[in-house]
Amino acid sequence: MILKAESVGRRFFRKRNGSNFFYAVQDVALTLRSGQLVALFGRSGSGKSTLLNMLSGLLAPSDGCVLLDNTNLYQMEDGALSQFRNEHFGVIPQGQAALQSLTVLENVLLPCTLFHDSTPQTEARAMALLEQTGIGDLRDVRPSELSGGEMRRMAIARSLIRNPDVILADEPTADLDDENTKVVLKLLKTVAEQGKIVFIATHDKDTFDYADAVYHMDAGKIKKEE
Amino acid sequence: MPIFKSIPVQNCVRRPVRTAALILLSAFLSFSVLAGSLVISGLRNGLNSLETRLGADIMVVPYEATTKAALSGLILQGNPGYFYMNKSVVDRLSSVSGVGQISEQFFLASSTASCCSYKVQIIGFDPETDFTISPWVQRTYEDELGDMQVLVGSSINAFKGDELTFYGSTVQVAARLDNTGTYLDTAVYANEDTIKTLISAAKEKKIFNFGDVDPQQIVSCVLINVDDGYSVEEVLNDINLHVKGVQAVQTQSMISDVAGKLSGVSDMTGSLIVVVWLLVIMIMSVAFFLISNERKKEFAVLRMVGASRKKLLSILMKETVLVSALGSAAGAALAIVLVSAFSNLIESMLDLPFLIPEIGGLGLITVCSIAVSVAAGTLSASLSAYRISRIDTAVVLRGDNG
Amino acid sequence: MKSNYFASKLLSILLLALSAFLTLGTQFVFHACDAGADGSHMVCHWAQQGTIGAAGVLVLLHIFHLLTRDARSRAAFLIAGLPVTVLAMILPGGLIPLCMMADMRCQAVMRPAVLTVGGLILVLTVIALVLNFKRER
Repeated sequence: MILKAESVGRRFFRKRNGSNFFYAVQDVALTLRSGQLVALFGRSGSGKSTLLNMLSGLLAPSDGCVLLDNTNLYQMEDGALSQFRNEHFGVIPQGQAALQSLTVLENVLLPCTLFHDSTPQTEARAMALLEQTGIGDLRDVRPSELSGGEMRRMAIARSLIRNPDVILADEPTADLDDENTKVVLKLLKTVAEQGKIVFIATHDKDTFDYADAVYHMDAGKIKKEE
Repeated sequence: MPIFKSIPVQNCVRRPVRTAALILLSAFLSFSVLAGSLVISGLRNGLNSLETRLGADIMVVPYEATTKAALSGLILQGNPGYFYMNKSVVDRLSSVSGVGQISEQFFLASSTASCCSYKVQIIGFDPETDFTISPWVQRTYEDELGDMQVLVGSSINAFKGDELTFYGSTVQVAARLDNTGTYLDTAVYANEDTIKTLISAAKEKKIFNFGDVDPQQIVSCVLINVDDGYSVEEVLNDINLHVKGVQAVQTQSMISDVAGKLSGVSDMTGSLIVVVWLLVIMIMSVAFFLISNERKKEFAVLRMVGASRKKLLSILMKETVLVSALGSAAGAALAIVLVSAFSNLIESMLDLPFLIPEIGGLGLITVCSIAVSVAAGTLSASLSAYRISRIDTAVVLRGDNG
Repeated sequence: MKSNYFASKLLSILLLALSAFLTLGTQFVFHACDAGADGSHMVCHWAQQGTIGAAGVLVLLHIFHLLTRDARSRAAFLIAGLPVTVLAMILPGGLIPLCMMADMRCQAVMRPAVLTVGGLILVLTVIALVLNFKRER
């Protein structure tokens, strides 16, 4: 599997310095392969999240295109792209992203229930993922009762439930203590070793120890660290 | 996946306070529209029933009866009353050209009934000539009404076999009549001989000032149907011109009084419904707007894990329809319970005949009310739902820490 | 669960309020027909007194229900309230006859009001029982 960004750019409407637009991401070319954990390093506001969202099919780029193998994401219409995202992408967003009306287990199962695919098998898989991420005993708890680290682990379990080809994580170790940071990064590394594409946007240098490749991002432009 | 575990249902069930508030709002919608429609259609139904039951083109009463307003009080409000004129009037009326069916009735007001001190109207009719009461009676009672037997209107708390005492004379209840929603429900019906016995008894007790009335020589009113080929107005004028001491009244004109009053009540009820609806829909729209703002993140998560815009819309719409259907059904049930339980109160407060529609009509009105309430609830949520389905997932997801 | 606890407390208060409304309302708001000029009462008056008595017992039961914490005792008070509610509802017109005419106050106002409020109490009692049972489980 190859996830490829071809001269991708994204501009937003904003009046600044006499121009009506500013580029959050500009002319990015990037190739990500199965089995690799790749880190994208940069300060806040450097465009990391925007790039991640474009890679996951949530944000259409203004220029260029995103390809998973030979499928051009943004040539699909919304329904097909959504289903494609459900099947091939696991997204771990920033912050507290969960449905408060569902339990931890139900949140993990959400990508399945959404497509009416919640079976005893998927439930067993969700439980296994919760055990693997170390929050198996919290299955019936509401997300509001979770700590930051537990919430992040839940999001990781949710991103893996459909056994996707690509995992995109946005600051997965932000606001975590050292111990939790290690647990989360190890987990993502294991996932990469199982043959997935893992791409992490971060400003946490601990990530480098686990990464197969590191990119730097600054003012919307990307540069590979040799 | 079982329906009760689906995402929309869970979203409602696990937010009981929010859901209850929305259910309450949509209950207001269906309650107001159904209660209003039931009152209006009950009044229309009552008017129709009155029209059918009056069943004669012309009513002839003693001249004093119309001036004392006793007539409309008796006919429209069911205030018990009595008035008499000499029996010879019937022969004089029969000779007026254009007079077809003709039948006399006798009125008496009881002073005390057996249970409660409340006046009851007693109406006597002649089964030989009667054409207004008999068709109605025959729906519940097929035999001929015997002497000292009575039929009771549906508003009277007496049943077949019960005995009632009027002026010391005991009569037996032979049957209870169908509900008409009109003054006829509060009356007791007897044949000519029975009522004459009762009038004599009343005269002996000297409770009313009957003067020198001879019970054998009187009638209270004469009902007339006009022959084909004659107009009602023509015959009416003829009677009022040529028969002394009586007043002929066109029943249709009494009904149009009722109809006029009814349209006033309808207009008021209608405007009340409009005001309630505008208010509730406004509140609901704002509520949905606030809720959807609060839930933006939730829907961004759904979007992230693969929900299409269409799917988001469908989840939100299902939630809305579920909540408004529950609320509308509850409001409708409450409306039916209250309006039917208090129908007698409505009738006496409005002073208009009131008859709740039969089960078929009732069902239709109920279904329509629930449908429009659900539609209104859905409509007030639709703008918020559309906004939600258009959310910029990327922006919402990065919301809390840049 | 928190929301469940909140809902059942709310129900307890609502039930108490309704039974109090049934008692006071039957006395002061939707009372039976007024006494005659000579001060004599019609039969519906006694139906009213009976309903007030039954509703008064219901108020006590609902106070106990509100103040008790134990789930089984709470259920017991609710269940005990069911026949008392039914009694309050069938007293006017069922066990004790009302006045003769349907448009008299006892028939047009008191009876439907008692039936409506009583019916509401029955429905809420059943809901409270279901919630109670769920909580216990």
